[in-house]
Formats: sequence, C-alpha cells, structure tokens
Amino acid sequence: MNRFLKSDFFYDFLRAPIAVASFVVVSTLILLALLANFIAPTNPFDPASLNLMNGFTAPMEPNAFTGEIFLMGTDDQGRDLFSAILFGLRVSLFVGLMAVLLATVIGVFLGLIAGYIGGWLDSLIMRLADIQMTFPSILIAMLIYGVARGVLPPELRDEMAITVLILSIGLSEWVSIARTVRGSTLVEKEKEYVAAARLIGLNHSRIMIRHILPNVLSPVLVIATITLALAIIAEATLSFLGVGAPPTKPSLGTLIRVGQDFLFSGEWWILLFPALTLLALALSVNLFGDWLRDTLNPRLK
Amino acid sequence: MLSIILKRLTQSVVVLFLVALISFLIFRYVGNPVDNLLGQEATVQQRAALEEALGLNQPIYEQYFDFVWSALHFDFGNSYRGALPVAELISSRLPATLELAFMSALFAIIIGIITGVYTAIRRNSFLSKFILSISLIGVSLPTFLIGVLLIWLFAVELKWLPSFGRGETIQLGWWSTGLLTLSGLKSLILPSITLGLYQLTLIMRLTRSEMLEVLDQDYVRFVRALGLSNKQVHFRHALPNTLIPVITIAGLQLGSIVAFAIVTETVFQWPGVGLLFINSVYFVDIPVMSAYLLLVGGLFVIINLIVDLLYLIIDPRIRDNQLIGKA
Amino acid sequence: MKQPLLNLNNISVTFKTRRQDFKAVEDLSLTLKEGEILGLVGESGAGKSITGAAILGLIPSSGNLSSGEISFKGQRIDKDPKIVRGSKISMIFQDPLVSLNPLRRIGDQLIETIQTHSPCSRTEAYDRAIKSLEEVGIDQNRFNAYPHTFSGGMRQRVVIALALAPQPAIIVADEPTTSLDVSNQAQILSLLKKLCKEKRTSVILITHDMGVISQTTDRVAVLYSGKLVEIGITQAVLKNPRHAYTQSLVRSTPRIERGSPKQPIHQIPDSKSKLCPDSKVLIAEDLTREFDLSPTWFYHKFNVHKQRRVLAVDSVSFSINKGETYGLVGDSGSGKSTIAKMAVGLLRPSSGQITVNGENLNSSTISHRQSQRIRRRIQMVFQSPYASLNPRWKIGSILAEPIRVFGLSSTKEEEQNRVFELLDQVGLSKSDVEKYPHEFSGGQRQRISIARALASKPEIIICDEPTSALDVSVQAQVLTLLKELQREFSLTYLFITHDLAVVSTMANKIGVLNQGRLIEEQSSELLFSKPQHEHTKMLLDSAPKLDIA
Repeated sequence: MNRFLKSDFFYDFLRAPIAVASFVVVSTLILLALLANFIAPTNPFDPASLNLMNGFTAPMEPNAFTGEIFLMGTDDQGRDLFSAILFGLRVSLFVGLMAVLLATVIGVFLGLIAGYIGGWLDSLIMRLADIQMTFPSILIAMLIYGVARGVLPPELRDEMAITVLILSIGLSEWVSIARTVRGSTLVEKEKEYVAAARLIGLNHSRIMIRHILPNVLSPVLVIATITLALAIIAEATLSFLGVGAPPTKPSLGTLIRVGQDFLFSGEWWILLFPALTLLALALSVNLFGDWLRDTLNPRLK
Repeated sequence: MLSIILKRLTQSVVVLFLVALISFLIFRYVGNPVDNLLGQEATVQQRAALEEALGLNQPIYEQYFDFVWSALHFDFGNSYRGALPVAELISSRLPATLELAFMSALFAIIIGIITGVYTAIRRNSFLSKFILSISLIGVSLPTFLIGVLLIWLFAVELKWLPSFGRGETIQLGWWSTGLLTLSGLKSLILPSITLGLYQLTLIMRLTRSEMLEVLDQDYVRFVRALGLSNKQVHFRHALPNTLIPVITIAGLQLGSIVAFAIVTETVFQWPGVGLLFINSVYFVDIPVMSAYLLLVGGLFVIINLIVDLLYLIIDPRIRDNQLIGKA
Repeated sequence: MKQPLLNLNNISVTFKTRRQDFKAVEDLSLTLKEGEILGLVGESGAGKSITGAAILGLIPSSGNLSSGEISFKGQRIDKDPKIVRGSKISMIFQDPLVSLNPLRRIGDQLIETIQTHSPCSRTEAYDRAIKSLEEVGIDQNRFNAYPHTFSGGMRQRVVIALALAPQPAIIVADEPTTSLDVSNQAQILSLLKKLCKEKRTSVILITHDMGVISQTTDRVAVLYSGKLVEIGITQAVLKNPRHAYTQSLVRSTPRIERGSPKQPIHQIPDSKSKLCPDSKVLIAEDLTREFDLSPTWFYHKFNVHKQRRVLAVDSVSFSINKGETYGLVGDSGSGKSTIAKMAVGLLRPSSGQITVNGENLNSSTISHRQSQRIRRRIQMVFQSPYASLNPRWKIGSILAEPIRVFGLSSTKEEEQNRVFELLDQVGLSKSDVEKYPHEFSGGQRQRISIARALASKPEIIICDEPTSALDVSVQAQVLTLLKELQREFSLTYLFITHDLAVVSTMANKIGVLNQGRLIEEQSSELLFSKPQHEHTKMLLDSAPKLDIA
C-alpha cells in the first residue's frame, strides 16, 4: 500500500483534477447504490407504500392533496423519484459490473490461449472474434436477449431478466478484451524472459499464468474500465427499448423510458433526474477510463 | 492482387454462411414454430401434419439448405404476429432505415473528418479543446438520451421540428422516400443527428489521433526538414496516410449505423426495420428476428468487402502484397 | 577570421517531464565550417540527436529551445527555422524504413522537394530528380517505384538523394547507418562522404560509434549528458583524448585485433582442454532449420498459397571443447539466433541434431526428467537487458525460480543464500533481491541475466548478443565479467554476435555464418589475419574501426 501511495501512478492521479473528480463521482454513486436501502425514504417497489394521490408532484413542491414534499418529485403513480433512482442505480451498476466481469474472464482466458498457443485454436478464436466484431455489440446483446427470451418459458422471463441482461451484455463485449490480451500475449511471449522460463523447463500453463498473465493485465484494466461505461450504456439502452430490466426491477434506462412519456405534458423531472444520474455515471466512468489509458499507456494518446 | 480479392470474397461467403447458420438455428430451435403457429392445445395429429408441411421432419442439413435457398429468394416465412410475409414487412420498411442511415453517415463523416483534422493541426487552440471536451460528453451520452434531449429541446420547447415519424413520403416505385418533401426532410434532421453523433465523435477522435501519430512519423519530420510548407506537409503527406485507417473504420461504422438505427427509430417512432426488429425481440417473433439478422449480416459483409477492396486500391503496400501475413 | 557557416551559441534544450524539467542539452556552443564533416558523438541520451533536431527547429513538442541562439551565415535562424529547412540545411534520419512517405512514389517526392525550393517546370525538376537518383546509384527506371519496394540500404540512398536535391549547404545526418547491416553501413557512409565533399556540403554526423567517427569525420565533438566535453580534429582527439569520458570511450571501443603478437587474443589459457580434443561438450551435426512463411495455419494446411519456405540454418556442423569459447558471427538473418534456440531446445531442428554431452534435448522420446537434466547444464544469456527479465517479478524471485525448478536447494534458507551468492558473483548487492528490474540500468540487468543463467550451475552458457544493446563502456565491463566467470567455473561459451570486435576479444574459435551456412571456421588468430572466404573479408573490411594513424 505504501508503495502504491508513493508510486508515479498515484502521484499523477492526485495531479489530474478530472481523474480525481470522476473517481469521486463514481465512488459516491457506487456507495449510494450500495446503501440504497438505508438512504431511500421509501421503498419504491412496494405497492403498499405508494399513494396515487401523490402522483406528478414536482420536485421540492408540496403535493396539492397530501402536502408531502419530494426531493426529486414523483411519477404518475406517486412513486418517490429519488428512491427509484437509487434502486435503479443499483440495478444499472450491478448489471454493468457483472457483465464486465463476465466479459473480462472470457476475454482474458480466450485471448491468453489464442495468443500463447496459436495455431488453429488462435485462428478459430480470432475468426469468431472478427465475425462478432463486425456486428455492433448492442445488436449482439439484443439478439442474445431475444434468443434467451425465446428459450425461456414466459413465466420465467421477468424473473431471469437480469441474468439474461448480464449474459447478453457480457457475451457481446468480450472481443475487445480478448484481442487486447492476445495482442499483448503475442508480444510478451516473444520476449526473452519467456524463453528463459522455457529454458528451465517450466510447462506452458505455468508460463502463461505466472509469467505472461501479470504482464498483460494493465491494458485489460484500462479496457475493462472503458467497457464498464459501454456496458452501463448498453444496459440503459436495452432497458429504454423495453428489452432489458423488467418493470419490477427498473434500472435507470427503464426510468428514462417512463419519463419520456411525460415530456409533452410538462412533467420534465420524471425524465431529467434519471437521465442526469445516468450521464454522471457514464461520463465519469469514461473520463476515468480515458485518464487510466493515457497514464498507463502514454503512446495511445 | 486478384488472389487477394478472391481470398476476401471466399472469406465473405464463409461468414455469410455462418450468419445464415446462426439465423437458421434461431429460426428452427428458438421458440418452437409449431407451438407458435398452433398454440399449446393442438392435437398430436395437427402437430405432425404441420411438421410435415413445414419440412421439420427432414434431416437438419436439408432444412438448412432449404432455409438458405428460400432466403436467397427473399422468402423468410411469415411473421408470427399478423401472419404477413416477413419479406414484405421488411421491404416496406427498408427505405426509411436506409435514408436515415445514409444521411447520418454523411453528417458523421464530413463533420468528423473536418473537426478531426482541425483539432490535430491546431491542437492547442481553445476551439480544439472545446470540441474535444464536448466529444467526450457525446461518447458518454447514450444515443437514446441524445434523441430524447433533442426532442425535448427542438420539438417540445422550441416546436421547430417534428418529434416522430417520417413526415410526408413520396412513392417511387416500391421505394417510399422522405427526401423530396419539406416535412420529410424536416423529420430527418433530428433522427440523423441523433444517429450520427456517436459515429461523428468516433471518426473525429480517430482522425485526430491518426493525424497526430502520422505527424510524428519520421517521414513527416523528414519532409519538414526538407523545407516543405505546412500546407504541403499537412495535406499532401499527412492527410492521405491519416485517411486510410479512417476510411476503414468509417466504412465499417456504416454497418453499425444501420444497427444503431434500432435505438433511434424507437425514440423517434421512425417506421424502419429497426423498430420492426425491436418489436420482434419483445414479442419473440422469431422469423422476423432471424430475417433481420440475415439482412444486417449480409449488409455488413458487403460493406466490409467494399472497405477492404477500397483499402487495396489506396495503399500501394497492400496492393503489392507486402503486408499480407505480416499485419 | 571567416564567418562560420553555422554557429550554435550557448544553446540549451529543455524538456518538461512529469515531475520536473529536464535539460537534454546544456549551454552547447559549436561552429561548423564550409565543406567540413563534423562528428557529434556520445552515448544514448547524451543529447546529440536533440542538438541535430534543434538546428532545424524540429525538437519534439514536449521540449523547446530554452536559451541560446543558432545562426546560419550570421543570420539568426532559431526563431524561424523554416527559412533554412531543406534549402540551406537538410536532415537524414536514422531509420530509412520509416523516413519515406509510404504512399508517394519516390520520384514524386523528389520532384515535389525540388519544386518547393526552386521554382522550375516539371520537366526540369524531373531531369534534376533523375540526376540526383543517379548520383546515389539508383537506376532511373525505379523513378516511379514506391518506397516499400526498396531495401533498407537503397531507401537510405533515396533519403540522401532527397536531402541533397535542394542543394543545401549543410546536412544533419542522425545515425544514418545505425539500422543497416555492416556491409551497407560502409557503402552509405562513403557515398555520403563522397557526395558531400564533391558538392562542398558540410555535414553534421551524429553517431554513437567511434569507428564511424574515425573513418568519416574531419572534426569531432564529444557530448556527455547534454554537455560538450571535448572538440577537436578527429585524429588528434582519437590519439590523444583529453577528457576522461572521451578516454574511456576510445579505450572501450572494441578493436579487431589481428593476431598481434603482444596481446594474447583470448585470456583463457585452458591448455588442458586443448590437449584432449575428445572433451567436446556441444556438438552440432548437419543442423538444419526451415521456416514456413505461409501466412496462416489455414493456408498452410490447405496449401492455398504456395508454401514459402526459408532455410534459416543449412547443414551447420561445429563442436565446442570444454572450457572454450566458440564465436558465431554473422549479419542479421544469417541464422545465428536460430542455432542458439535449437541448442537450448526452444526450437526443433528440421533435420540434423545438436547434442549436449551426447544427449539430445530435441529428441522426441526424451522424458521430462531427462530433459530437465540436460536443461540444467545448458543455460543462456539473452540480448535485450529489457525484455529478458520479467518486469513484474522481483530480482529475488527471478533468481530463485531456476533453483526451485531444478530442485537445487532443500530449504528456503539455502535457496536464499544461493541467491545472495549469485548476486555476489556478478557484482551486485544482497539488498537488490527486493528490487524490480526497472530499477536497474541496462548493464546491471545484463548482470542479473547472467546470474540467472548461472543459478543452475550449468556447464555451457549460450550468449546471444549479450552486449549489443549496451553502451560501449558498459559493454567492456560485461565482457570482462563473462571472462572471469568462465575462468572461475570453467564454463563453455557459445558466443553469438554480429560484432567482430567483440568476438575477437572473447573467442578461441570462430565460425562465420552467411545466409544459414557456416562458410568459414578458424581459430581467432587465423580468421583475422588470413580470412579465407570472400564474405569474411568483406565483413572484416567494412567493420568500422578506430584508425589512429
């Protein structure tokens, strides 16, 4: 830890206001999502706690009937938006992080194998990646989502929706990670320290895991961060389109979808607050990822 | 040269067959077609009769070739919803999507390359920094949110532009175009910007970083040392080398524009194939999904092929077979 | 006194780095006379390239000319260097592979350059372009060729033609031959010298190679960490270097020693091994290796393309006696590294074999235990001090790994002590075990690499260009260390290098490789005094040497 605090990396971090700010925003949002149960004034998904009389209350204005005041107002059902956003944030972050984790595990595994072993295995994995690359990941995610819905019996569709989302986003994002890892592996495996390890008769799996893996991870960290922003946006997009998080577990995207319906009737807050939260999350993850890339890999600038 | 073209062609055909295989597998195995057509309560005899009629009891490879064969004749079966032929559904909606994709690609490429070159050459000017910061926000804003915000500003608040639909269209044979009426053109503006903005930032950032990298190359430093003017250095030596990767990526982006149109079309209720697809995903309308996959897959493969061939024409190194196998 | 052609007056170049500013060049003053060739010599990082770039105002964007002035024929040019670029002062870069625009035909680049500086018709420019290609020895029918169709040496000729085309008064040549093979090196240098003398063009020749300096330049300026430490007539400086750094530079530049009677060529008087020629520890018999350059596995399997096969090593046979050093010399691509890889079992020979004490590591029937026994006895020191140590591992773990894998210590403590012992043997300290490779200099890393090779107590060590990435002064130290270790542990070396000077100080016997074939094998003394093969003679002649008349 002490070594970390003294490192160039930490030094640069403290001197990059954008990096610090985005890091603070992301951590705050994560904290809010984790503590949603304790912070949120109401449980927005408990039908018993909803009062239709509270519907369409503007932010920080007392409701005409009940006189209750809501920080960010309420939606048509009288649901407190602030609470809904906290819980929605939790869904968005959870799906995003799990999807990136899935994509990273698959990507690192396949990339390492393809790069190190090479031959037909490499050709197979990379052709697969090429084909998948030609299609935008959001389309792949939609397809996987659609297929999964088709395979699942209708009664399980809502229940499994979150898992299906994670799977579809995770499976649509592994390619960039695998390619990066393969690329670095190809470079690393030609380096002489790998030859030195082979000279003393280490077996291949040990060389891959102990020698090469630690050296290919730092670009993975960068790509995973950038992929997190992509995954969060992908989840929001799917949910916005109505093929993502179910109405019983709305994410930020679902909330924006609901908010859009009330734009013309003047209830702007139902759209604005979830949208701002999503923007803050995606932007700060992106900014942090950008900074990471520039710092760890100055040549990519 | 010829052998490379042949090689690329073979690759494309292989990919197409793979895509067809996937859409066939989805078509055949996801959501049992018999259940979907007859409902759960059908008798065994009814089911057997339908399986016979649909050819579901034939060997699987025969079914696959039947599928490909009918796809080649634009026969994708009937939609589960409304029982219309899928091909008819798609062809009636394709012009809307293609016009939208074309306009936004034009917007993205022209503005993207201009701003990219500008921000690379004047890298320290205020305007460059401003453009770059805006672009970062642009990348972080999901497409649908951009669309919603544009609607809010230009349709709800300012009431300048329509918020949904294509406006009036004119029928040219089977092609219905919105490019020839004022309301059609007005309706195109917001969706095109929404759809093109992400690609624009991408092309701009790519142009910028490629240009910066090229400007740092020894051959650019060498022509500088030879005393060529900035204009010669930037536009005759650096720009052509910059544009090669930019054209590739921009070309490949054309495909994703069509795919991303799904989102934009939903936001603007644009009557294109994307909207059709998202509804089919929602209602598990398998024939439409698989036909859409085939359509988009075919489009992508063709675009990739064209981009590759373009690349061949532009870069003498590849033309002479130098980089193949090494790259 | 006549006004100098170019005058650098107290210039400093400052770079902004993460934590503080860094002066790459400090208070440097130089003058250049008309028609003279001035050498700028120094180690990497001495500021010589930056000085060259500063003259043309081409300093990379993170740095700037922080003080001093540069004038050309009395006119200040540092404020607006564009007025002299190309027309008065031109530049040649190190790597010809990347200094030509890949998308433009060389003829077009020439015409463009000529027309930029002297307004003339296209036909006139064309004639001049053809003429300048002729001058550098390029046939005029290559006029419309793209750069990638030329070899490295040819491209550097094109670059020279481009630089000379606007008839500049000065050419700044930044390591113009470093990336070329020895034979090309000599040709390009003499071409540059000849053309510049003919046209009375002055040259600033930037190089790290004292040999190049001695053969090409009239005067030499020696730079050390951004400062000018010595300047004078080349012969005088070489003969009588005054500054301590110059002295060490001249002294540690390896020379080819042609069997001079005063100096023994090898300092390993292991007479015993010479008496019993049977103690051959490494034997290569008809060693052959082919490479398949067909693009991918798919094409290779299905034979879509004609297979492109290359014979990297072609029936090479040699043997090394115990305790001796065998030098393998050759240009890049001559197959020397491929032989090294086959010797340690990283590559299998296509045919023939290489055996260690009669055992064949590449045999397909060998068990893991047997191969580990052979591996323990043959280890390797690699070329790159940067790539040969895993950057994520501490030195302690790097050295302990072979000890553990070969089961050479039974307790943790024993292992630790062995690591300390190894560090001591290569002249590093015990406290270094906790450090990471990036905390060491290139020479120190090469010592660590040597320590790792010693860890398993091997009998044979393959040294693959162990000093080619090091600065000359460090080079000498590492070579000395290798010799000491050889004496102490009676090691056998297979010493692979492209550098004749280095091999002359190390080897007892030398084999010369050319395009995968062993074309000559001689004892060191004989090879340098009476080379047999034409290629060997060419190598010997074109190697840059220190001529101190």
